[in-house]
Amino acid sequence: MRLVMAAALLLLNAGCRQARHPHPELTVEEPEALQPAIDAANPADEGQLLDGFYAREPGGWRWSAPAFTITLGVPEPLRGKEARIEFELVIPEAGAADLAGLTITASSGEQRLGQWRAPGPGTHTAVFAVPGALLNEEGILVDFALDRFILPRGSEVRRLGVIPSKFRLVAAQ
Amino acid sequence: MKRLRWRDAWLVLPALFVLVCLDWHGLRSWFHQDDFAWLSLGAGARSFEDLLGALFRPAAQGTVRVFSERLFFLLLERAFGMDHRPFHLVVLATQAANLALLGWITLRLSGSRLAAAAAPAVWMAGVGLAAPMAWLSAYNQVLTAFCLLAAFACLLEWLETGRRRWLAAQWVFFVIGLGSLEVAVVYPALAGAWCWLARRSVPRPLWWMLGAAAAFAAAHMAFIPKQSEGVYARHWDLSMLRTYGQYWSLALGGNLDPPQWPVSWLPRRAVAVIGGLAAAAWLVLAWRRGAKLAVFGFAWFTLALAPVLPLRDHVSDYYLAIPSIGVAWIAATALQAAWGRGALTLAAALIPVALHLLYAGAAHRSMADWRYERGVNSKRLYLALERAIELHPGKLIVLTGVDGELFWAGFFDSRQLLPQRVCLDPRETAAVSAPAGFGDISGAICTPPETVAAARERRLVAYRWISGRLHAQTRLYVHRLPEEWRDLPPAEIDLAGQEAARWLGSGWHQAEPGGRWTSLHAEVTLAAPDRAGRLLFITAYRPVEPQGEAVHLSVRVDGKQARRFLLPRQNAAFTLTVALPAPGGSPSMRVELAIDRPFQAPGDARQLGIVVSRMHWQ
Repeated sequence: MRLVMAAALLLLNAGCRQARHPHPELTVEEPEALQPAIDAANPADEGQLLDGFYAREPGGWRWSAPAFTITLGVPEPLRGKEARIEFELVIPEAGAADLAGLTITASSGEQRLGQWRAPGPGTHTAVFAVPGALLNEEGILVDFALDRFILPRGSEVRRLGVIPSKFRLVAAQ
Repeated sequence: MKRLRWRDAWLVLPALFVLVCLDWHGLRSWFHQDDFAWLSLGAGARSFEDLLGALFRPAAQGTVRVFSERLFFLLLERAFGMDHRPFHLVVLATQAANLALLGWITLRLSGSRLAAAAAPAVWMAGVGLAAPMAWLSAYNQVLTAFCLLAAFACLLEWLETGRRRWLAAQWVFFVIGLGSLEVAVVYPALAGAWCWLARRSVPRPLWWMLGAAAAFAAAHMAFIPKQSEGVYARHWDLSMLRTYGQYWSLALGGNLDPPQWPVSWLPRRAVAVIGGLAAAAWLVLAWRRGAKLAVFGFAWFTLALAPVLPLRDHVSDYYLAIPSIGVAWIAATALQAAWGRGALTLAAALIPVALHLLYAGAAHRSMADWRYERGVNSKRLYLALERAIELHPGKLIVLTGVDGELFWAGFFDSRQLLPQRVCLDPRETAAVSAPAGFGDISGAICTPPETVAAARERRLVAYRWISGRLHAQTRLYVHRLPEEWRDLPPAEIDLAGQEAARWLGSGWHQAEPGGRWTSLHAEVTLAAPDRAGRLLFITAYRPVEPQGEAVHLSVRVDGKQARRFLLPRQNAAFTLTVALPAPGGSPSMRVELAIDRPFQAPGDARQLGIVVSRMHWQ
């Protein structure tokens, strides 16, 4: 009988409840403050590479997919003013054939920002004008779409676009 | 009859060894599926009435399993919260008692220590016990097995000693069994079958018990609603024979897919056929020899399975948990009979039993491990959601990337334990759709109007489930909301807010703290209901006028009269409920409010009707 009572007391003892522990490792939050310039190779900027980017390669750089999306912070001085996005990228020699004549189209929501045609392999900077009407918020989301990509070959099953390097939102000149 | 002594405790060691080998992972699995629904019982029980409801209100296909589900979860959750280990300890302790009882009964009825050691081990290895050992919601099988075995042990004592206390104890276990799982209703038939086999007569007290079982079955049929379609629909026809055969096949050969077969060239059905033929041959021989326990094993399997045979479309491995005790007796008595009768006879008994152990055991282990994995993923998602809510209190949390497996294991029921609304992106409904008969899942899915309204009001947080973590993607999610959703009206309007103005038609005055006055006729646009059966709630207020006459409010939906109310004469807010028509294809609906008498406010020249503070449907 004593044993039963002890077991019942043990069971009803709310003190046995485990304290709740937060598990910050189980969520990955978006950056609170958006940067106007990001580096695709920098892990600290990953939160602004929203979609269409593959994992970093051993050298730290990464491939984009044929379509990708980023977000950039709009600094106070640029709010509501015309600006431009500078996109530094690399078209590798190895993909030159597949990407010959590549055109990149940038848009934000329904608004098309423009197109940029790659002159060939190498390091380039694509520039897209951004109307001030799109810069009234704390950030801007930009979708990039490539009209060509490197087809999956051999053990590589991904559809590869370009090697993005940097994205910057700067005042229009 | 042979009596068990303490020195015979080793007889359960083989079964405990099997348990450890097969259920090592299963016994550590975290909560999943229906576990969350039972865990949430305590949260809703704030008064004595609530507690009674939590204990006795039919749930989950109209069942009332007070001991094995309600009390089990209520008490342990109250004491230990979301710690799964005490729950599993109770399961383990109950099953250990079951194994001891089975060994005790087998030794008494067979007189063989070999059979008494083999029966619990064979039962433990069966595929039927995999889910009950790993899934806490299936504890009902383990507890009911205990009640049946304990009641049967009491029957044996009563038959031997004639003492009425054993009869009374048998009743107690029978009643607890009925409150644990409806299958316990077969106990009087099991007890009667043994009495008839052993004595060719059924004692009168057992007929009373049979009467009680019949009354329970009749009450269950009459008062508990049954599903007429879906997987839980009952089919009282010849399909029951096929279902019976399916269960034999499952019990003997397990349910593994070809890549998992322990012997790659030996299909599980072949193992079931070999086991079935061997069992049939032994049963014929046992009948002729008067080996009652073997024949009783067949009766036990058949009678304990009988209640689920009408569930043609819901053949489940864990329904074998209790019937498999019968298989264990058939196998154990076969080994006992073959022992010492030459190598050939022994091989004839040993090979089918070994094949059964190999295949059913492998299936058991595979199932237990699968449950463990489900628990791991379910725990990660649940804790991640807790964290998300901690970070974003009061916001609507929308999830993407949750597949059907995780949805059912760790999301659909766990939402009930979370303090705020978390739902799945409506475009992912197809990935998680339930088979017919599994009920309505719409509560777990966000509606487009609530999603877009939350986005508009900046109280939406979107997460994507990627590799066991929730990745916040609110900016991208809002950016990519479908264009056609952007102009959807909301399903809920706060009339005191400026946001509401966009959806108001004629007949509204300026927003004021606490709501907005209508004139005698006012119009508002809301999202059309997403399915039939939705209710519109109008929270409003109209001060009582001295000697005022009755005031009526008519509500029209899309031009059709929906309801007419006599407004309550009270100086306090009231909520009116209107049943909405089924969706007609339009994304929005127009709601008209018409008041038959104006309110005269001193010094206010406006035409006033009522003050509406909130309108929403759900």
